Amino acid sequence: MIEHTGGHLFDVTDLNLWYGSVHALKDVSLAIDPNTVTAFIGPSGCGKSTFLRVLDRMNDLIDNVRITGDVIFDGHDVYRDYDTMELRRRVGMVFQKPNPFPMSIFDNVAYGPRLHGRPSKAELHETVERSLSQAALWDEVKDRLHKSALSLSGGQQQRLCIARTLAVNPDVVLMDEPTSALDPISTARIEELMTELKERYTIIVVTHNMQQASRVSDKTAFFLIDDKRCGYLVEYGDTADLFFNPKDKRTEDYISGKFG
Amino acid sequence: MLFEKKKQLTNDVALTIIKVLSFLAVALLALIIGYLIFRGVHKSERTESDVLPLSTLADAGFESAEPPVIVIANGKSNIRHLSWFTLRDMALGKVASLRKISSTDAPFFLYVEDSALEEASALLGIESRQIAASGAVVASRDEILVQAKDRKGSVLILSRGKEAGPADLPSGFREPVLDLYVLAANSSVVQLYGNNRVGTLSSDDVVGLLSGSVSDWSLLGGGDIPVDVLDAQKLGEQAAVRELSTREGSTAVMPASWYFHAKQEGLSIDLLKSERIDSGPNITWEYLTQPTVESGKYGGILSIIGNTFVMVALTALVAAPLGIAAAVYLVEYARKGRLTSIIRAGIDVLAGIPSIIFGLFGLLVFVQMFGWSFSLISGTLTVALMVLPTIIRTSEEAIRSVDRSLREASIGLGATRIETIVKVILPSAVNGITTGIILAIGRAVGETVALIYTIGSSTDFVKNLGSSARVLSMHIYLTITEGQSFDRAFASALVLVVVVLTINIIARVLMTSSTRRQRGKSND
Repeated sequence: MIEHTGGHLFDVTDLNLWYGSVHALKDVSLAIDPNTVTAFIGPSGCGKSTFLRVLDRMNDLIDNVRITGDVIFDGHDVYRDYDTMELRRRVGMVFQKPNPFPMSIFDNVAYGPRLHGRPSKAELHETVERSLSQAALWDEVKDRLHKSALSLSGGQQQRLCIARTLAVNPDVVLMDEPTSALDPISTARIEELMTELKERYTIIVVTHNMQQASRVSDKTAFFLIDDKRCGYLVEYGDTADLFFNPKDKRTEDYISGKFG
Repeated sequence: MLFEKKKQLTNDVALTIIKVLSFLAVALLALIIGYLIFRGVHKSERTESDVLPLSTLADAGFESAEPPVIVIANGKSNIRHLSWFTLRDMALGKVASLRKISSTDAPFFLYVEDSALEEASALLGIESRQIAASGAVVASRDEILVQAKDRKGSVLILSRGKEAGPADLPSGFREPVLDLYVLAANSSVVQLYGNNRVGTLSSDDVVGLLSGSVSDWSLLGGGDIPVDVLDAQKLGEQAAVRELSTREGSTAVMPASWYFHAKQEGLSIDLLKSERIDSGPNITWEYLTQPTVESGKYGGILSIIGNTFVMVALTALVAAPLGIAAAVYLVEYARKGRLTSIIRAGIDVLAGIPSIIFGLFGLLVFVQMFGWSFSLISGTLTVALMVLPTIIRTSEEAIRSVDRSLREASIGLGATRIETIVKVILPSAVNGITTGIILAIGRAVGETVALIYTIGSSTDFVKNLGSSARVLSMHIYLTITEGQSFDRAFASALVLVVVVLTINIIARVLMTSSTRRQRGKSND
């Protein structure tokens, strides 16, 4: 956990991103506060997932990506000052499809801690229990920690992935459409979880589901795509304002279902 | 309506053709496997023999006199028949082991009952003191039976008492068939006529000769001389031998000792070789568990099976790390570009290169340039290079099919690329990689051509990387090309097929278990 003296946790200014010669994100600027849930919404291909991946440098895995602008995390530039391993420890990520490693439940959660040090057996157990409890999975799996993670249901797998992310003590958890592959009940549990987790973590979630955004988030960013298929930020503000009192006509049209 | 009918007919005809063709294909494959198993299990070997097999004599209606002595052998010796020439060599101390006489190997011992010594020496045309001097034990019947009982390789010559016969064979012993007659002929018969001469005679040939239905030697591949069959028994030794040496085209069945004497006197008599069909079980426990003798002519294939496993294990040990590393590089590190596609195309070309080319490469580089000569290391490296493309391609496929999101999850937790590869990607791809290695091993086990020039042909168990080592596939090739024995080649072939089959079954089980696991993943 970091102590904040009123500042923003993420501060992005004039971000532009190209895949080769394709301009994918244009002039995005926004700031994210600690201990909030921020939702990114917008139609498919508007660059909201790409933008999420800028924050923990996941786009580095793709060849030919070029980025300009400043991405400041906790006072330092993500692309200049951070070691990527350290950045990704502090900015964790949960993916669209549950993707537990093909190993035991315990080993899945212990994977991160084992990468970043040599924890003792007791420490490891403590971390695993804490993470699984925070992800609201502990009671369901405590008797079968050494069973394969692939034996869990989809919703459980996704909560396991959240626990895996929490195990390395991140400051931020990025979630890329975390419930799009889940049934409504599992979705509800994950949404509950987000609200609980924001006490300790900052959560940024990309979602297609506007109800979800309005239910769980404090702030919402609305992205759109222009006629050259380049994503840009339309409006960013408190979720209540954005949904019930949008400043921009395009936001209003999107939220009321006129397109998208 | 008509059109519909025509369509239906075409359909039926096509279906029938497909059915027939597929049945034919399956039947052919079954035939091959069946024949292989049959030849592997059952032997029916034609061997050339100096003496006339007793069964051939019986077929020809020839009444052979009862031998003056009884010859028995230890029950475990597996000796099925003994020729007069072998018996004589035994009595002269020229035989040291059973390996050339039976399927089992053991040191040879000869026991002669004291009262049979005279008859034995008369039968074999040697002096009785020569038998005693050869190292044979000469003692009373009771004594030699006790001594011979525990020696697997013992042969006993007993006197034929008035009342004794095959019925009272002592327990623990067997009575081999004694072949004491030869088919002798005037030297004119076996001479070369043009490019032809009388070859090895089959049982039918001998019967034909003796019954008079073969009237001219040209029918058996010899010269244009009429056949003249003499009755040696009626003529007696002196007259028979004299007639035979002077009458052109003459032939006669006579005791081997007569022929031997005549030969010693320098008479122009020769021997017509006949064929013996040796049938029985082919692949036996002895064959699997005994060392090889004389390049596979005798003995078993234990050391060769051992060499095969050593070669295959070393091949996997060399090829697997190289192949997996190359696959990891190609999938995880190599950027898409011209160089990568050239490398990939190169691997595909290597996979398709005939193994003889690899063999030549191994010969030039490992054997000659590096000076490793024909050795395990040369052969292993050659085969390892040969199977490398297979391993690279299958591993590449396995690694590529690991879900992309697993990579991202690991990287997202702060793992480095190499940590991700070692801890997540390789464990996830392990089934596919193992399958590739097993397929490569299957290919290595059966490889012959690449080994001919590289691994050597010593039948001993390998001592070190530099020693020449014969493996199963090479053994089959060499047993046939060196004309040792087709039956032994088939027995080795059956062993090889079983090994390859086992490897394939393991690969299949691994493949299904991996797909089941993946299916389980998506079902959740």
